[in-house]
Amino acid sequence: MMEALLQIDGVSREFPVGRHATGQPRHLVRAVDGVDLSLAPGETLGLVGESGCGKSTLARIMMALDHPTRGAVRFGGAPWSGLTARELKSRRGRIQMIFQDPVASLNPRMTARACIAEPLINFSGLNRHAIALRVAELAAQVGLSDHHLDRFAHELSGGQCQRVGIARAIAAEPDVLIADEPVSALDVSIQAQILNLLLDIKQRMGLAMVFVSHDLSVVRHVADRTAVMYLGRIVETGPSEQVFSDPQHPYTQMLLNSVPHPLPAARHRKPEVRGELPSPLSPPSGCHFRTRCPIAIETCAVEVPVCGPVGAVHRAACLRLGEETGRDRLNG
Amino acid sequence: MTDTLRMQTGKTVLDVRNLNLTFGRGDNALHALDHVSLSVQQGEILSLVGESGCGKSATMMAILGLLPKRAATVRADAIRLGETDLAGASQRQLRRIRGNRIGMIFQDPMTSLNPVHTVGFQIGEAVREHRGASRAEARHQALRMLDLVRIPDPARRLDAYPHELSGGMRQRVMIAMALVCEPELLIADEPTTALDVTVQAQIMALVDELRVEMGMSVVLITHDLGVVAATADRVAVMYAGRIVEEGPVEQVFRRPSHGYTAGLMRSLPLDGQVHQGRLQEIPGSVPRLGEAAPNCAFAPRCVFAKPRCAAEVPLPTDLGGGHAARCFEHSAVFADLADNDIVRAWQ
Ligand SMILES: Nc1ncnc2c1ncn2[C@@H]1O[C@H](COP(=O)(O)OP(=O)(O)O)[C@@H](O)[C@H]1O
Ligand SMILES: Nc1ncnc2c1ncn2[C@@H]1O[C@H](COP(=O)(O)OP(=O)(O)O)[C@@H](O)[C@H]1O
Ligand code: SF4
Ligand SMILES: [Mg+2]
Ligand SMILES: [Mg+2]
Repeated sequence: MMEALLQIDGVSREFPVGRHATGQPRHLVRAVDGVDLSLAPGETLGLVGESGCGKSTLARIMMALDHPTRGAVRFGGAPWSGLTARELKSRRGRIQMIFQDPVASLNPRMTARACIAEPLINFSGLNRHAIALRVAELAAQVGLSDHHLDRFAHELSGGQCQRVGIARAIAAEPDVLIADEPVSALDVSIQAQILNLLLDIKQRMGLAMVFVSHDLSVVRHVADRTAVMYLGRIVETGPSEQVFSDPQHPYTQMLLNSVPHPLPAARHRKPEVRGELPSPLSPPSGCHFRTRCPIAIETCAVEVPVCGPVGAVHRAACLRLGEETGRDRLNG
Repeated sequence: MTDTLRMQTGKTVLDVRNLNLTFGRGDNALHALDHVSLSVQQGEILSLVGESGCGKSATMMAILGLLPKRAATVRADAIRLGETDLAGASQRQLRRIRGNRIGMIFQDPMTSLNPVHTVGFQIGEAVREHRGASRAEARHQALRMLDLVRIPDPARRLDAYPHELSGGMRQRVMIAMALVCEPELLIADEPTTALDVTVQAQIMALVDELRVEMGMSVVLITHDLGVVAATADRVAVMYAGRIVEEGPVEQVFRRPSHGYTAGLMRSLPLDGQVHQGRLQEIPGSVPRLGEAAPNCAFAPRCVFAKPRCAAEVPLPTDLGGGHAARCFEHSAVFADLADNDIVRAWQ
């Protein structure tokens, strides 16, 4: 295995919610709970899970836009924490993010041209003339024509704004691109355009990507490796092909089974989905998934399953892994 | 056949003929709907599918008489609910129909639920208003409905406020409110778009079960072809204010006959797709509202377009079995999709 570009070790992030009169927080939400992950150069890692499971919090921690309350993040072999402002700034240029809401993520008072130029001014040290040339080059790469560049975000369509966001993110030639739900807000007919663009850029620039999405078909298509999250924890990771065709964790099975595919097999099907997502304020003891799990046993309420190996590179956090449970896991 | 319910009764519950809608007047008029015709049979789920801004919600608002009179001009040859003419009905008559003979659920339950009343009170409201039920009777009905929509421990939930419930539970409450008067027709406008897939699966299964239990018809608005395949009996595909293709779900998937339907089916990243391979994109962007297109509105983005497509409005071509498409090139579209993974799966 290549050395990791981004390494996340035992990362947790707790948020205080509500306040007592004394000023003490009423509760703590553990949005991310003991996550270990790594990202190799040039790799695309998919991050899936239902809303509130901690995907965006984890993405922000990877970007050092937020900091873990426990654990460590290393980028390019060095820890994110304890950097001087200058080191942090130069490091930031190497890891960039694109967001779900393409219109809102752009400065409404800046033209597309200015939006794309901004990171070049901050990180590249190029002169004005060189920046202008580079902006034109970037625009061409993301499929924007010159007349788009003089428009403001509200004068562009969602897909065009997302192209601006992508041009901005790749302007400083980062090593890592973190895409948090990059196509979720776009029309179905535009999604394929943006996915193709991301695949294309990734290939051309050889960058590593973290692709966060709740759309499982999309993640299956773009990610080399996929991590599935449930209530702040990673419950399964592995090569996308294995995770999607042979899911091992009961939650992954339930999630995949819920997706309606436009195929005859989906007709009037009643996927087995039990219960509701528990409140992240008081997740179940032991395995967080046990309250909805069809194969839970008593120990599941006591023991926290570790994300252990299923195959060479496939891991899942289930106490009953490998046991004969009488369930057709493949069909999950 | 999934058409069994419909064939048993064959009764038309909703019939919309040539619905036209414009916003604004004169030179600034924006044509939002153009000759939209729909019909829904008893016990049937009709899905209206299309991307945002194509006119799905506007169609339903026009049918329900919920568009502001000053801003919107609605013209239709007919809008009928059973024997009742909705196009000519007064606001008073429409108020008696909405929430009574037609139930409605919307994408975001939080905006449709009143935060200061308990869910029990809100569910009971419709029976008090439309059936003159007493408070006790309304409460009893609300309890029955919470149970019907499979909310655990319904007696306790009766006195809960909307913010105390999860997104999935709120959507169940919305369904309970919509169905408490046992409507003939349920209009569900993107009821699961804001929800996670596992919750979506639960809600769609519930709607499907209830329509059988209550023998009701459903108009299901969605932008997701997967939801169409899973739930609907018939589908109407909408693009830029027109129904461009319509028919039984099996037939439309088996024989997509409009460039837009075909484009959508080809762009989906399905399991059979080469991993990280290029997806077949639909070029260009979604058109903005303007005048009614004097041609096929999809022509600028369509890989099948011929000169005629840019010059004339295609009329619906009957493809048999209740399947029709407004596409000059429907044969070429279908021929080209014959080896598409989705199409092949349905054959
Ligand atoms: N700034 C914050 N303050 C308090 N709670 C937060 C904050 N950010 C996220 N959370 C909580 O953390 C959990 C994970 O949120 P998020 O990372 O946004 O999930 P996802 O992106 O998977 O939908 C949620 O329960 C959310 O309410
Ligand atoms: N009150 C209104 N005034 C002007 N335009 C409107 C109004 N309501 C909707 N529209 C426009 O009509 C078109 C159809 O909208 P809508 O039916 O909400 O689309 P959908 O539900 O398919 O996403 C959109 O372009 C929308 O902007
Ligand atoms: S650990 Fe137990 S509860 Fe958790 S997924 Fe495995 S069997 Fe189910
Ligand atoms: Mg998020
Ligand atoms: Mg709508």
